[in-house]
Amino acid sequence: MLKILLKKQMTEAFRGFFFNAKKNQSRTHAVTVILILLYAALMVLVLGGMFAYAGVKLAAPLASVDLLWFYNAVFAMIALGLGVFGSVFNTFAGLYQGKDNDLLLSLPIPVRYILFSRLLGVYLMGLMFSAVVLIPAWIVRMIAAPFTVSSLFGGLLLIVLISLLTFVLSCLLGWVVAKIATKLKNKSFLTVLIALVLLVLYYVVYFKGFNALTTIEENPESVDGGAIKSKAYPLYLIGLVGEGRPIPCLIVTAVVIAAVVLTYFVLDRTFIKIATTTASSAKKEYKEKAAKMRPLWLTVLLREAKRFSTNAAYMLNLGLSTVLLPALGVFMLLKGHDTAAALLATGRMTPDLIGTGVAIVISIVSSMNAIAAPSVSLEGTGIDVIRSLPVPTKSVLLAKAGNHLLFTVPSVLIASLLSVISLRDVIPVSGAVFVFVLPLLFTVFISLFDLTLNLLTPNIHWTSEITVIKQGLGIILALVSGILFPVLMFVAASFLPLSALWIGLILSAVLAAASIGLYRAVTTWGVRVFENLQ
Amino acid sequence: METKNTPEVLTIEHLSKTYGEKKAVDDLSISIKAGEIYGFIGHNGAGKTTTLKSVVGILAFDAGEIKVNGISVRENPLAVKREIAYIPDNPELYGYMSGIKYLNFIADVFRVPVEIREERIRKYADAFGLTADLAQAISSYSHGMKQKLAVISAWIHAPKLIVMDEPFVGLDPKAAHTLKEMMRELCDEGGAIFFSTHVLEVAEKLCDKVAIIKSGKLIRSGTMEEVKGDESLESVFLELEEDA
Repeated sequence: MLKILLKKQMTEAFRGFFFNAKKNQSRTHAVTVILILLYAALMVLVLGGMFAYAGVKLAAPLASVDLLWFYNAVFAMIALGLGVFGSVFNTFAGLYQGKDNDLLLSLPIPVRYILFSRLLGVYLMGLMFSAVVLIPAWIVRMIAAPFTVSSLFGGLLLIVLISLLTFVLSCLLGWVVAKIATKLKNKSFLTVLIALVLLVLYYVVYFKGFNALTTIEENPESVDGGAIKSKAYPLYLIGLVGEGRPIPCLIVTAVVIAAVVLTYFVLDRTFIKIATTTASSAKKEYKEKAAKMRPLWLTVLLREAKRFSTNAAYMLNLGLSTVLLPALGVFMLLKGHDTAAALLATGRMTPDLIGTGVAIVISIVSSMNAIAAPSVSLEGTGIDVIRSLPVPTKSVLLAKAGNHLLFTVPSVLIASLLSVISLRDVIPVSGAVFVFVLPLLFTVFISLFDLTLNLLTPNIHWTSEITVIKQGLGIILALVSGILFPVLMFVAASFLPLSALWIGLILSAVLAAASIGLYRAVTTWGVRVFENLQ
Repeated sequence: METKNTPEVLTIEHLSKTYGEKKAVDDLSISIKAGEIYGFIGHNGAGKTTTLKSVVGILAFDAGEIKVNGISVRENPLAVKREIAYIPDNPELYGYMSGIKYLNFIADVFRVPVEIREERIRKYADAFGLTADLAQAISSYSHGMKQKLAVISAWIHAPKLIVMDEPFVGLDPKAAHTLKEMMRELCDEGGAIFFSTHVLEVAEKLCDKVAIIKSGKLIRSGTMEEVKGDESLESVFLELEEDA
């Protein structure tokens, strides 16, 4: 029984690799292998490469002052933070909000099996995040610092323990969200609020940590191992696990196993109640109000906007730039001028290149919005409602891209405006123009690019919407490409032997041409795909 | 009621649709005139939903022609959709909208003037006892409430043809009665209804014409009298199921 459930759960999670929803048929083995390799390559090269680079910077200096336990502890905490941050928002939906709750609970399946199969999904997500940090750090540690057999096995054990700890924290936070959600009506708002608080904490820790790592790299003696050991002893123990010290390995393993068992016990006791409870909300009284006739384009756009703004998982996973961009603008207003002056003082930057650079930074931050990326899949099996209405499919698809613009363009404009105000006496007028134009063109391009990706990898037969919001192949490609494109823009701006004005013009032309190409693809081929989705 | 000059609202000619190796609908022809309530019955998997989805332009078909008020679904699906309304068998409405927002969404799509939509929402929501729940999110609705909302949304633009897949499933007896009255009223005003059902008693009492489909093929159609004669529709249906 459990095997059947696990198979179902895994099939749902990795459906995109095995099944072509557009053609409604299984993929060939060759295509499946290629997709898995592509996915692995993206994870290993992009994320793994980033952490391997950080490892290279830290391993040797910390080994020189006999603080490899601290190296392990730092990466363990990064893995834990990334894992919890990456999966906590999905845990609630993944554990409790499956569309097949009623079906599964009505079948002669022990509830603990249902819970276990769903928990495995949560664990795998945590494991993925943990592994992508800890495996590169472990490999680098083996190469860059003295090799020992105990550290070889200790590193492996650390990966397992941190993934389990990520699982415990994600489950407990997901459980807290679930408990609150059963009491409150407006749970989307609450979830977003909690998430934003976590996000602020995450970035505070991230920036402080980044500064600390730079300090360590330059001056490893500055790390006061004794102080850390006395103030945060568990951290010390975790670090020693990575070195394979027997007693810390036993203690931390015992604590983690106890935490896992306790978590499972709590979830097992409360699962069925939470999964079957509807939020207790006071009935909202209907009072007739004057209706307004809206144009068709606005009607379909608002349908998309409503879907986005009432779905916490959607907003948190694919709409964070809406908040981050104004935050970037405020940062630029406060620190932008000094930072630009410092860059100019190095002699490696020119005033007009700073304008292009700021535009690219805004584009990178805006790429965390991928609102159009799951928009086709999110229609689900209710897709027939819109398809049976007299709305041109082209309008439906453009509304999906338009929804991305609706929630991204105002934030881009705020970031651009505040940046230009801050840098008004540093960058020339042409540079200031590109601070607006490049991110706007980039946003238009991404809206169509993400929509195209979703039309290439649609999945309307999901059981939990988190499958298409978080785990779809198209989503991963959208988020990675969103960062990759501005990086390519940066490389072009750095190496092209042209003035900043020409670079800005060329980048603008490329983005505009790509957007026009994608627009044509979406409104011709994309329309056929959407109309034939089964 | 019906005369030779009564215009045909829906004509299906030689419709065929195949899924892989399986012929879901095979050379099916039906015509429905204004004022007619047309029942479509058959066993599970007989091809009813495939036919209904083809009529409303959701499903591309392999061969044949479907016209609504003389407009080809294949050539001008948007124009056809403006004339019709469709209620699927298990309406998956947008759970994130409230009932009233969903109705206004549909009314906006069909360009229903504000005064008219308000009047129709009031009329039908009151008839179904749904008015008090219109401010609630659809995700909190029961199956029956969703079905009522789907029915109101179908009637909101006074379509010429309403296509319904198992419309009585989930409705309480009072709501089912209200729906029957609405169906008759729409047909009396020159509209037409094409609906599938497994409830043969309802079909027998309500329909002017009926078609029986088995394994994608039309095995009998016509007026209720032509199809069932002196027998009950149920016994005719069961006989045909065994014979064909």
